Amino acid sequence: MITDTHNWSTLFILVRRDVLKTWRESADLLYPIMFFVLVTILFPFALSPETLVLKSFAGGLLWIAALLAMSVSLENLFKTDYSSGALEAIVLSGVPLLLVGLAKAIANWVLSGLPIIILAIPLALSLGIDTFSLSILLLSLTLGSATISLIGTSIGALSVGLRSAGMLNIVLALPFFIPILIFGAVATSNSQTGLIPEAELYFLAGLLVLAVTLTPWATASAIRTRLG
Amino acid sequence: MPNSLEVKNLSVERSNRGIIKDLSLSLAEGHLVHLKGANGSGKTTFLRALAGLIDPSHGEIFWNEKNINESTFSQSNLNYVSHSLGLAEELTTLENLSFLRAISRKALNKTVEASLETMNLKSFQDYQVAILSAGQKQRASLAQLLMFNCPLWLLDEPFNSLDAESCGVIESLIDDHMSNGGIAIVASHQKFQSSTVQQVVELK
Repeated sequence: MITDTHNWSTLFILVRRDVLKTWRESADLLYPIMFFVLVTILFPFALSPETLVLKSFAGGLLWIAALLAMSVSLENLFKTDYSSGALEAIVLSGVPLLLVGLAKAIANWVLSGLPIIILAIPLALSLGIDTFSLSILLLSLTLGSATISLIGTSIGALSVGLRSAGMLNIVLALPFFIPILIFGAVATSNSQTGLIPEAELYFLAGLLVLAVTLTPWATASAIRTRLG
Repeated sequence: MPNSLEVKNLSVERSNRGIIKDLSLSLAEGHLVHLKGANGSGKTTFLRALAGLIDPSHGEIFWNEKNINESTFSQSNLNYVSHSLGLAEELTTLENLSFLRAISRKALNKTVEASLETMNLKSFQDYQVAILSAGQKQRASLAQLLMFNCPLWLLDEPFNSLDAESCGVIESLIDDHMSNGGIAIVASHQKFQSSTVQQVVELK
């Protein structure tokens, strides 16, 4: 797919541009992160402040918060580039659309997946997760969030230019995200109960490989279709 | 081999509504077409079809006698400046154009700085596009014409928001392109002064 150094440098330039653009539009950057933190903080109020109770729910709770926060971040993936005509200009530059799709997914992961993984550390510790389970949670979040970014980018490209694209993205994406949520949450809870979470992590890694292989093609095709 | 563009019986439909019907055109090097028509007459749709962004419902487009759907025609041959400008509002003019120049597979011509200088935008190069005036945005978008060496120019309302002086700069750019053997289609509902216009096509 990426065969020469020119393509690698193009991918890097595309990612850097998207990161810079979102960084300047700080609301786009902060909204999913704030969402993740707030949802995680609010759960103990609804469940119980007891450490033992929170600890048993922590893995699933953090995973649900992460998944919803990342779903929120999908709304603006293509929105401004489409309305400003920048997406059209990128397509007409002759750059392979596979790279455009992959770059959008990488930028989305850097801007929402990575901060969520970092913020999960203090949040998980405050919910009473031990260090081994924390490492499994972080590993599962890394694998799962990257897959979410890749799948979410394809779905975001499908809804480019549509009204209420944000809600549509979430509705379309959630069925794909459910296996990631199940394996991610179960991996963490297994590690908390002394079971080996190897199988779940392999599943997540497998899903990531599948997403890396297939979604850039789907995104490229969706961009071309939606622009036409 | 000299460059040529031929459009044969092109029709484009959107939502079962015929926007362009049986349009044929033949353009050789140095040929400039002024595309006229009221709003909604299909000027933008026609240019987008030529740029390969829309699949026509009928008809064929030939670039250098090869069907663009079957040959290795790539968008590297064309400079398409749409009326939506194609600049990210969050980035500066310099960042936008440098980005396009860096990723583009087109043959390069002037540097970003030199292109902005020609468009009288050098002093605004570090301003975010969002805070530029409509005319400055238009000129920033048109600076792409100078950055790339493409034989085919497709310009959609290039004179929008421009003052008389800037219109003159764009017209002279088009004239230079034509005298260098370029091919151009300029969609504009405004009066187009260029002496190099060889054909006026009115869409209805």
